[in-house]
Amino acid sequence: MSALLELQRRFGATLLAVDAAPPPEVLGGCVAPAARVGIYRNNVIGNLTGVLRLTYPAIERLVGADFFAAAAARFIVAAPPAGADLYEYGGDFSDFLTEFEPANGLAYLPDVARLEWAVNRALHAPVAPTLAAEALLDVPAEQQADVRFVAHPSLSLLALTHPARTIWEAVLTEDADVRATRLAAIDLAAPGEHLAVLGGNDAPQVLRLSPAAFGLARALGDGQSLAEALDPVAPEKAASLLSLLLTQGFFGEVRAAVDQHPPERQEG
Amino acid sequence: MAGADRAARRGDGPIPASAGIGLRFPHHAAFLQTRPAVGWVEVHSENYLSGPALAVLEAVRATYPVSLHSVGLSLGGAAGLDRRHLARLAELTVRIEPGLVSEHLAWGAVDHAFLADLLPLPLTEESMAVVCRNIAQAQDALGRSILVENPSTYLQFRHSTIPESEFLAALVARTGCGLICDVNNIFVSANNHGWDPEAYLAALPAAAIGEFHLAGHSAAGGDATGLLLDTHDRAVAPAVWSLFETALRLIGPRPTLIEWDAAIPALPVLTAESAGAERRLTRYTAEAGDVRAA
Repeated sequence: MSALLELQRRFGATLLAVDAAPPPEVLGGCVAPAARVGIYRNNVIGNLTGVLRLTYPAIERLVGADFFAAAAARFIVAAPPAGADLYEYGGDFSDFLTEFEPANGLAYLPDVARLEWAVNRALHAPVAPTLAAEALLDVPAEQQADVRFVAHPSLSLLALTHPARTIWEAVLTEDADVRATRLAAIDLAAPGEHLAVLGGNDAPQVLRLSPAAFGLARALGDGQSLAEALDPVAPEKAASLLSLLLTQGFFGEVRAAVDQHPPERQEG
Repeated sequence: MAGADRAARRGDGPIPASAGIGLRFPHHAAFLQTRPAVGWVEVHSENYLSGPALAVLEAVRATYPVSLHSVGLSLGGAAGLDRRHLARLAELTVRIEPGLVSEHLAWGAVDHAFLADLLPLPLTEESMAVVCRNIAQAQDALGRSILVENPSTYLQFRHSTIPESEFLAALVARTGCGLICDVNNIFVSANNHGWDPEAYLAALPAAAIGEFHLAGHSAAGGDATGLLLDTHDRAVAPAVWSLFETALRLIGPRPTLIEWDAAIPALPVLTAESAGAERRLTRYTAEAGDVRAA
């Protein structure tokens, strides 16, 4: 292994460990090596905490800035970004919060984080046209059962067990008095919801779905044919459910032939 | 649309030897509404790879020359470049047709962990070979030469053997790349390591310098007292303006960028800073007896 690669591995490990001794190759002078390395450690943790703070503003408000910074630092050290596009960083934060002992008393936190990640995804998804509701009319009737849809790149589907959307909306209310009133009114034991999050032109939309609409959206988003996806749906509801998903812009493309490579599952 | 038509419609490709600003998200709306009189803009490529930000950049590019400045390519990475990231940068470069493309003499990724900072390299022959190989790969993928920026650093390695300015000059000679001369970074690193900033400037190959950078710095506290930090959170320091004037004398006028990345002020504060750079560029050029195109 090259000496440089070996040094970069040790240096990287030092940055991601609290109080690790600096590599012996680092010169001191008027400032000790540990303090010099500490500047880089602060930059790494600070820059990535800033990224997480932008993606998870509701979580930060719910737990407070200090708690958030401590949780973020633990998360960053355990799971640094895989690449330089930092919009892709932090999708696992909800799973981390599930396991993060100090947050155990806040069972709804991971669901709020899932919702915020979906919003982040929608905000930074490629700008892509949505499939028009009439698109199915272009497909010959005898081929309609076999068509497959490709989910819009901004779409996330969330099956949540806690009232995360209500909490998210309340905690991000700007007016502090209104915020406190809305938060106090939340029934934390309320059931969760099926949600879809989609990129709008300006701001992401969060839609509440019935279990039937959610099931259909998920089946189609997973690449099932229209006939397969509609199989569990009551026949009298099929046309209106499908029309609803199309009108709301859930899909980016429709493909008439059987796709050799079904699109990746889009659930967040 | 034919290439020539497209070029004519756009704010012309080349970056002029005038003052520009680093465009950041909080200024998107104000920039497009007020269309400030700056010569060009530079963005961090990693923030514009997709989504609505890319659409904003395309709108800006329609009337301003744009420079793409990467912070995540990790040119000093011993394990080589992230091919997916390089491919995405190449795609962005085709789409934006930037006047300049640049990165830093630094590393930021190891073993598939991206550390989101510009980390220091030991300046050795081994590092030289690594950085040259990575620059060549980037230039091949982008289909053009790039500029490499001198970093702010807070430490040096015991086994470094090559002074930083000589290291940069060797990169130019071996890869055909150009350089960004970040005047604030020279000031910060010179303070942190006891270098002579004017000697550093004089050792750079002037003809290879394609751009100047200017930004604010701050003093470290606690156990790092005595060091300067490249914080980009305030106006350019008077001592850095005067080092910039020295750089103009030694190197000549070049496209000059004002960067402001934290505690970002209102857009007019930034354009006032760039006007300060423009005044110095104009004064230098007048003193040198040249005539500048209007």
